[in-house]
Amino acid sequence: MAKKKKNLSDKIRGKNKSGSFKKFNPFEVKINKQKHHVLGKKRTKSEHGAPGISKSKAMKKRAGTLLKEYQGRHKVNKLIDKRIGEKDQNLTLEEKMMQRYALERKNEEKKGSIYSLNEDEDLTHYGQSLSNIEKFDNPVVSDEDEDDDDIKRLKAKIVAEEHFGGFLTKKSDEETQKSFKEKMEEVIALSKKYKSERQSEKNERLEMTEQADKEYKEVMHLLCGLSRSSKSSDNKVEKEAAVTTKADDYDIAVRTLQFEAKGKASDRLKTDEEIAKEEKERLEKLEADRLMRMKGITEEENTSEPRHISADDLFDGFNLNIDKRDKQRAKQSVHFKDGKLAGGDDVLIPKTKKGMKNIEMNDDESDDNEEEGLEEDEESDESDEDDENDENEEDEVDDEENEDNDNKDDNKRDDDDDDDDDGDSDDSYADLESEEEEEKVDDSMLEKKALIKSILKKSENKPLKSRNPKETKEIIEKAKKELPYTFPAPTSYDDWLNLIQGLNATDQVTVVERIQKLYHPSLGEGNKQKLQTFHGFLVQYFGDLALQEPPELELMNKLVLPIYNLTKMSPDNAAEIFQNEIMSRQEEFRQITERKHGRGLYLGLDTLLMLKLVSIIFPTSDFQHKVTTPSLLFMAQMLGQTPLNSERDVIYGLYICNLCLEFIGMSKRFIPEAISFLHGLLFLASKKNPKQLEKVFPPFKPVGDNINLLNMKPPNISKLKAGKLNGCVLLASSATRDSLNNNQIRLNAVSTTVELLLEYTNLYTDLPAFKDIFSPVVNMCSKLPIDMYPADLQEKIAKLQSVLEEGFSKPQKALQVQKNKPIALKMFEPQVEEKWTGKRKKCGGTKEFQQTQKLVHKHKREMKGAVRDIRRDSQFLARHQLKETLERDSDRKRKVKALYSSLANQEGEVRALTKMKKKKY
Amino acid sequence: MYFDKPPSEADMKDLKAEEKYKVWLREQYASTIFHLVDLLHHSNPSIQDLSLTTMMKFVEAEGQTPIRKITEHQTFPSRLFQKVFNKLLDDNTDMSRLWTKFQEYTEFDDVRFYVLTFLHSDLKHKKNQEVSDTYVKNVFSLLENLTFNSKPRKMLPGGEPRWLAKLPENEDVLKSRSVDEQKKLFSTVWLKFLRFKLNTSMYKRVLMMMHDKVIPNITSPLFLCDFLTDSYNIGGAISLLALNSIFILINNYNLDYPDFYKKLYALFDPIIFHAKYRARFFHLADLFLSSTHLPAYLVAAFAKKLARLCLTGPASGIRIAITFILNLLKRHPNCQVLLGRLDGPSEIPNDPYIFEETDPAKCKAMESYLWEIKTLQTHYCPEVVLAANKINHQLGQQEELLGDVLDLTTDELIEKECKRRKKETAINFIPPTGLFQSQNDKFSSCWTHIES
Repeated sequence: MAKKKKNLSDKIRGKNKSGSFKKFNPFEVKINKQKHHVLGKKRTKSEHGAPGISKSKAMKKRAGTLLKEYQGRHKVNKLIDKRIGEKDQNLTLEEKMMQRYALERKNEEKKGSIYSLNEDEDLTHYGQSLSNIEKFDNPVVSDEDEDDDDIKRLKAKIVAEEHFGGFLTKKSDEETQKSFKEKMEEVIALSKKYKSERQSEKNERLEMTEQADKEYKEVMHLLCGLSRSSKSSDNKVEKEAAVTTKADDYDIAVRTLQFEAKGKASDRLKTDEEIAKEEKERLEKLEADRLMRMKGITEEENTSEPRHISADDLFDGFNLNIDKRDKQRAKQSVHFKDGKLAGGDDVLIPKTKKGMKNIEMNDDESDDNEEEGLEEDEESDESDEDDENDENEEDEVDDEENEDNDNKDDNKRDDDDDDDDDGDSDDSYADLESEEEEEKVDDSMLEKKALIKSILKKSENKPLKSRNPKETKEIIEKAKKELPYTFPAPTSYDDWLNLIQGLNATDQVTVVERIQKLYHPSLGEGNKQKLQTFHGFLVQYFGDLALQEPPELELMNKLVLPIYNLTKMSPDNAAEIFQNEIMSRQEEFRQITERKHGRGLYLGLDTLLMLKLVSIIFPTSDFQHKVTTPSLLFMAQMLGQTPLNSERDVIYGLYICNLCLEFIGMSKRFIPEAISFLHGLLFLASKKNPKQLEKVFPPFKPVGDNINLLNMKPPNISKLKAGKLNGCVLLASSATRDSLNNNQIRLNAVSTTVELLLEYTNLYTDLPAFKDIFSPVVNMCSKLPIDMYPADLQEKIAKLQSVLEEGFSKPQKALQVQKNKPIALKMFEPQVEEKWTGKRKKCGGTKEFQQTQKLVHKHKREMKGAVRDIRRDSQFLARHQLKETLERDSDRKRKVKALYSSLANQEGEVRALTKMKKKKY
Repeated sequence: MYFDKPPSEADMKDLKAEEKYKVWLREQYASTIFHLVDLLHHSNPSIQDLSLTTMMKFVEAEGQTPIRKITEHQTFPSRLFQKVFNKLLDDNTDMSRLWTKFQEYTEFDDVRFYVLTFLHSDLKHKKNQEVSDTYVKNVFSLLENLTFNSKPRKMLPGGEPRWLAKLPENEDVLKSRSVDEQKKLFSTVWLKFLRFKLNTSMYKRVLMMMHDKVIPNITSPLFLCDFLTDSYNIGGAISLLALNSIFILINNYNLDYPDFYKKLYALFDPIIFHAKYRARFFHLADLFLSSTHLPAYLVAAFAKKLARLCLTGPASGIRIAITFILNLLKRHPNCQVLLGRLDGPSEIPNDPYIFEETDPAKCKAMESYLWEIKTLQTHYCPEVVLAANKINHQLGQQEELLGDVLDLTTDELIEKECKRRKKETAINFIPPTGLFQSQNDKFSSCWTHIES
């Protein structure tokens, strides 16, 4: 057996060898000698070749292509070989012929059909095509047998009566009077009649069989067991189902007992210390992250999403989403009932759409939460605000309850989990309620709101429409007094304005919070999207509030937290929203600047507060941040490009300087514009020497109408005291030029300037160019009219000067450049790579450089190849031409030779003749 | 048949009917021209345009088929054209729009010649008079729109001159109207024009077109030297603009300009970052300092001064300046001591550089360091920081392209920051309590009542 195997393998190997290996003449093979043999190196193609063979191959190819072209160069016409398979190497001669023959036949058939006389010739037997019969395609079935019989009978009759004038049968006179048409109609009617008879008969028979089948099955069913029968017939299944559904109370009780959880597992409450420790650790980690971002170090960012912190989080480590069981449960469990999270009660949120309806909040207290138990889950669909309705509904609900028996088990389980939740949500709501009670209704509303107050009423009632008319009345009365609990997610900004129209500040915040909870992303698909659009409106609303008269600072203050929470939910989208807000304002500024030839204008309070909001929500210390970096650039742009024409500009500029300070408070980044601006303000307040122009930085000018903007004007200077600027009054757009034009404000502005400069000085003490940055400031300080200022301001200025002087006296460290590693001399020792990956090492240079290098290399190679090809082509042609001329020459020589020889012959003959003649004479 | 004068009544009687008709036609033509010329000052611009084109068509037609007897020298209907010209160079109406329209006709040699001649005589006439601003403006827009497209002529010597009117047969006439002659006229006209008192915007525009429109077409550009030197000494944006032309004169016409670099050094001022022509200035300054044969102290002075100016400039300007400075240092490796030296002391009590010194040779920049760039490494704009961080390592050989950053504006910087794609947006981890109530709020020390 072993022998046999060996033979087989040998055979195969031998076959393979003989198949792939071509015998070369060893004299034809040329081997390129390698200088160094490298172990493990793949043998390349170029190592040995057969130049003779490849040359002859190339010649052959050229002869087939180039030569043909050369020969046909003067020819216009072309011969195209359209014979089938002529160019196909794979076809054998026989196959080619077969295909050609087939095509020929096909063409013939097409042509022939016009003239062919016996094309449709078909032999029949009994009116049937013989060819059909031969095929046995349609075996005669017993049913149709009769059919045929009928036809036969009919036909026989017709034949007998009609053919040959019907002389075979005798006819009555009546019949003879009938026309041919009538006769034929009769025949048709008859045949139809036969047919219908047959049809009905057949149907009857079918029914009988079916009935027999049924009866048989019943008998079988009786004979066999029940289990089998249930499978066999559909009726049985229905019956069975009817039986099972009739489970009695006992069964239910047994099952509930069966699935009742035995012990209640609960989280150990963490001690205060532990909570504090965890919080500390969390904050420490976040702070470390912040520092990394500040330095602009882009380490591998955490792929996991930032943990969502619910507004209700107590930071005790409890997390709604990471529950004991699973996430799905958590999704189902968020459900508001009586102002508590009552998710456990509600298991009927199978799909998101339905779930949305279910999520409604009840406000009034109901202590019998547990007692009501199961009934409540359905109820939450129906009842909305009031518990008073609960009792009425309980009766109605009882019927529906039955359907849920199967789901009960889950209910029980959920109950346990959600006890904790109840606690949390309870707290938050208590807060909310107290807020509502405490704060009084603020009557200051927007004009717009008043206009659409009626619309507001309607929108309040909207969610109630779907309810029973009976209940609606009661509810409406109640609802008029309090806020609705469900809101449609606003789809446009006007929508949102309608929604909050006529509500006071506290209520508006409540509405925002409720919307946030109603459309919590975990409660349904698309909620996140809704909240994101809502977030956009909220931010826009925030900006609009600042433009009110007076600005609604109180409400804005309260909106900060909801906006922050929404931002936390989807940071990227929020960044987009804020970016758009900032950029639209920047665009406005840009347009103003363009219109005024490079001179800008301080934008309104909304911009200032929006920028402030940015600094609150986003980390301002990041090296690069989607929102804060553009914001900071925008602020610096405003400071650097806006000329100061009035006290308003001074105050706005001071505000922005202060905001800049806040932006860079942690990162200590350098803002040249802010320092230049503050320096300019000092210039505005300083005593000027009319003969000498001060050096100031743009946008300030050493001359102009406004260079004495902050100079104290003579009357009652001495009484004033430097204080803080009143932001609320001064920043509002209502502040007119006149109201700002007084000494107190100027004094305050100077005081603030000095204060801010002190802050900046503290931040920048470590900068190497500290002296160069602040020396103009010191210079300007000495020119301030100090004697006009109150003592505390004088002190402040003196302090600033002393701090700066102290900073100036520090020696500056010389710069050091990091030396690059010296480039080593080239060694002749082999370079040993310890970790050899089998790939060639990448050569230096950037990616683009490498790519261009690659392309250059490729181009060179291709160029070489193309040139070589062209050269060979021309050589080939030259050779061919030479051959042609040689042939022509030799041909000509031969012909000439022949001519000469024939002439010589002729000459010879003539001479011979003349000789002969001479001889004769 | 030509009439030099309208025929008198007596002559009229002798004329045939056809000739009378011709006389009548001439009268109509004259009145048409009279009205059309008036229409050049019409308030409606399209009517102005139309009347101008019509008048020029008349000029062309008369040039081809003269209505007066032509001499050998004169084929161009100069009388008719002068009427148009005088209207276009009005004392009180701003015709600059029509001059731009007129530009297509100045491509014809004869038109250009007559424009220049008329302008020349006009200017000569007004030499000692006070001229209105509008007149100056009109003259300027004329000169602005005058084009010498002599390029094809150069390639084909003796090529056909382009004439609106018929070409005169006399060779001398052609010669006297040649481009070279016109350039002579052009030079005198320009020099005369520059003696007018120009207002600032006009001045700037003159300087802006000086280098590419005037200098190449003037016979001896060195005549412009006085004007340019004066403008250069004015300071501010005007000297900035004069820079280019002066450089061309120095470079191509061997102008010996003492203290060129000193004056350039004086131009480096905080205002350059805010000037409208910032990109142009930096481009030119880079050009002037591109020579590798400049002394190191000079380059160091420029680098140090620009670095100092960065401490008060806007982000976009700083970005340009840093590239500029680093390019300078790369070009002049012996200036790289500004970034650190081996033998120097580790601490310096005071910056030896004297900012106020106007002479780059005396400002001691070589003894100083570029602390300013080091400071800019903590700038608030990430772009600037990344650029400034390059001084931490040895500078390479390859210069960064200044053109890439030259047109950078703050708006573009902001846009760029917005478009930057980052994986995740970081947000503050401490939930806020209100607008002005956060922990590190800096407002409370300066503001009251900011929160209600």
